[in-house]
Amino acid sequence: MSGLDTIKDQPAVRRLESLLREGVLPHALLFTGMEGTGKFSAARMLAMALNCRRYDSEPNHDRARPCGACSACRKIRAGIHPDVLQIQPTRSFIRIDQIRDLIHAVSLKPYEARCRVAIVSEAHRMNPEAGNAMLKILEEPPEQTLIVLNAPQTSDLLPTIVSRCQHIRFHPIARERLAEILVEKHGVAPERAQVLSAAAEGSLSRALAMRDAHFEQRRNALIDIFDDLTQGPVARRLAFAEILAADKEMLEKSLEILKLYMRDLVVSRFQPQLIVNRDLAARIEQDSRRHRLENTMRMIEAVERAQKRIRANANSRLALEAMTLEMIDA
Amino acid sequence: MSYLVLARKYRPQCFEEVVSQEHVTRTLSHAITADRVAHALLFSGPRGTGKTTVARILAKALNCEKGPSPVPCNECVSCIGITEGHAVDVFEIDGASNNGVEQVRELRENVKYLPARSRFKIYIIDEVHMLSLPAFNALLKTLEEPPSHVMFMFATTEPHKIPITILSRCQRHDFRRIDAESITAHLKTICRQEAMEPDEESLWLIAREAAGSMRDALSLLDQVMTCSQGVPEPGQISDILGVIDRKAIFDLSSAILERDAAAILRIIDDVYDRGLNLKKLYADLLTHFRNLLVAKLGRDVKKLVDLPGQELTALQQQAEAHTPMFLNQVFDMLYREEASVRYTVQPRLVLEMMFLRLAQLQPALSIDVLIDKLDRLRKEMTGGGQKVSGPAGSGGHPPPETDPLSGGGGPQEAESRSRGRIDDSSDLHQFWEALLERIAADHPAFGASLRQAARLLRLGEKRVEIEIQGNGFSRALVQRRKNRGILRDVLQEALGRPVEVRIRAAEGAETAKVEKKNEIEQRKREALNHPLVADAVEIFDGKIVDVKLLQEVDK
Repeated sequence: MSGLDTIKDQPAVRRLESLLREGVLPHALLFTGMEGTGKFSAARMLAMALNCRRYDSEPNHDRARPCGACSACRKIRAGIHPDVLQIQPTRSFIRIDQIRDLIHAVSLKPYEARCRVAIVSEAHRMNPEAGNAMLKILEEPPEQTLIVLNAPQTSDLLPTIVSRCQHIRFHPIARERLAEILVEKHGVAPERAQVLSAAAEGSLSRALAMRDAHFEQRRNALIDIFDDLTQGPVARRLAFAEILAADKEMLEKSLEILKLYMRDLVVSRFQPQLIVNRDLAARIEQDSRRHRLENTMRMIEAVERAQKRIRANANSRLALEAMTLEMIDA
Repeated sequence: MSYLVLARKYRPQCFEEVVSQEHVTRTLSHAITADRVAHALLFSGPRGTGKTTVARILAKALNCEKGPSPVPCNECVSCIGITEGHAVDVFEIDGASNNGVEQVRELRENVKYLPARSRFKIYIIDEVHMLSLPAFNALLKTLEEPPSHVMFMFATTEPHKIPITILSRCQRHDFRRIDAESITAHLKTICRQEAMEPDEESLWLIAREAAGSMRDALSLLDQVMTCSQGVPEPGQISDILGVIDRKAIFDLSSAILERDAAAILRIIDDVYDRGLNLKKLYADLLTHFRNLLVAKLGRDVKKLVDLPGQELTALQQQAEAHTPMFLNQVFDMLYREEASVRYTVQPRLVLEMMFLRLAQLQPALSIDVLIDKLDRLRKEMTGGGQKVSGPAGSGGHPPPETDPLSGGGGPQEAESRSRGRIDDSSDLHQFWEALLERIAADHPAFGASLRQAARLLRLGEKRVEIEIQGNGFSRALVQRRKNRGILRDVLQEALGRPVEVRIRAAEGAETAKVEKKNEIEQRKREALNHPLVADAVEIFDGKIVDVKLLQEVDK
């Protein structure tokens, strides 16, 4: 059923299914969970379940199992159903015009759907005007309309929006399950799948992005340099900053990798089984003894500071140099 | 989808049904009976407290065919029309999506026509805070003097965003947050109508999670009802609602207080795996530490901490084991780091690192304890049978000619009980110096502050007056009860008679300075205006560069 297999063990999906079977689906739903946990697939599944043609001929068919083969299901899956509206941020925001268009669209009768579905992805990117414009329609939408908002966390949304929706949480995908999915659906080699699933922290899309960006090589290279760095001469640190700054696209990710590695160094002292880079467990355990705890934590702070500065448009090379100079293990 | 959520299904249809907003509903009912309803009303208050609902009820009450009456009939065409949202004379406008000046102009155009079939033409503008400034301004004239058949009702969660000129033209009604008890009671009645019987504890949990908003409470109840089918258990409820259960919060806070890093990491991992909001965890933890502090301070705990009885006991037990200083320290750090948690993309990492840092925190000592420790240390260094000398390094104070003190000198052990009298007949200043020496020997910190801040004013038969000035810190130190006791004891010992110590704040110092300054100014002015000076300037064709006072020159 329509890519839902990957997330079928989400408690959220089970709840949606029971809402469908009981016929008590509210008019506004809020899906929260980090990216890549199946929020959009679930919203699409809902749209299909509400509109599947099969129920016309077989009224007793399980309401939570759309056929996936009728015209409605196929249109929804292809994203061309006229009554399944998708709203996504344009240039990092969802603007009020998009919401006005949505309000206008749902005020008319649906073209062919039994129940119209509006899916707002990344709802936390609605700017305040758009969010407020959403309120009235969210509270009392026209008949036969379902609005689904997707966001990472409720705290990223206006409280007035949250209070109007029924809230459904999507859990991070369990590590073993994620590895299975990677192997079965995306043809990743099993060992590699283990590494990726651990580092992706429960997000399928993150795992796939990591696969495409050759995560492991990158990480290993970074860690190697980092290990030399803390004891090495100043010149080497500045050189590291230069290397990092050269690749603007990957900079944010590189810093995240470094941070995660350092976090593992700290965590492995207390709870070795909770580290993220599991394949490097032996090395991390060894290294964590070499570094002093306060120093590692200070280095994490240094990385965070650098990230903040870069986000605030500082000269990234300078920010990185300041960061590497602070990375002293003494 | 014929399912109607509880918040809509049980939207109050008359004033009595509105929960916990009597101060608004009663006023409005009276206004209707007395025919004194203002033509522009503003309803403000937190989300889900009944602003839009009250606006609709009021519209019904005014337009009801059976008269304007405080109780709308809910049967006539007008009432039903308003309930269903298609009444011709009641315009419910979404201020957030119709926020431009264009829409307001359109509204003004329509205002002048008489209502189609009702008594009033009523405009309800919801989310009115989103109107643009030009839109607000375009509304001003109409709002002040609308035609007699027009009523405006505004509803907003953010009244501070509304221009003052609009506010002054409206009668404002502020809605309160609904207290947890009223929410619980209301939830119970609704459950009964829905033929459900959830237990008190679950409802209480929902009410607390709703944080004063009835709609939040009803949304949550909806959620619980739809996914539990039947009677939910309390444990299940917190899972359904995504509430971070109290146990996790308690465990995490104890782990932090006991500096158990492993436990901290395990709890965070657990919360993360359940897909719960880590930022919420942080906020809850912050509240928890606030509660701990309140419990530790121990006054009005019941009123200030919004928790059921047994949790309160647990809270107090947890607070028991730690000093208020340490709790405050943790709270302070959590509070300071709040922004970095709020804006991070990776709350997990930030939280882990911050809590680990907290776990490294050494409990701070209070200033009193620190000072005592310092004093003890100093005594050990300077004491040990040697003669007591003035506080080393206090600088600028040469050791006074210690005629009186030499009598009281000698081994420390002998001193500590009775060091005899200090001659108080001679110079006040000398006596004071000697006294300070004596205090400083036992209590260096207090002695130093005394030296810095206090002055002996009068030494009477029964009463000693001391004046204090200087900075707030030394003043506070001198005035502390314990230190006053020390001062009194030393004085009595030195004088050999019981005396009363009076400490008063200096006021003279500042005024004296000002007076002196005034005097100098005055003199300079006199000099400048003196005829001799004026003549001299004229004769020599010179000009006055500066006026110097003689004393200054002398110096």
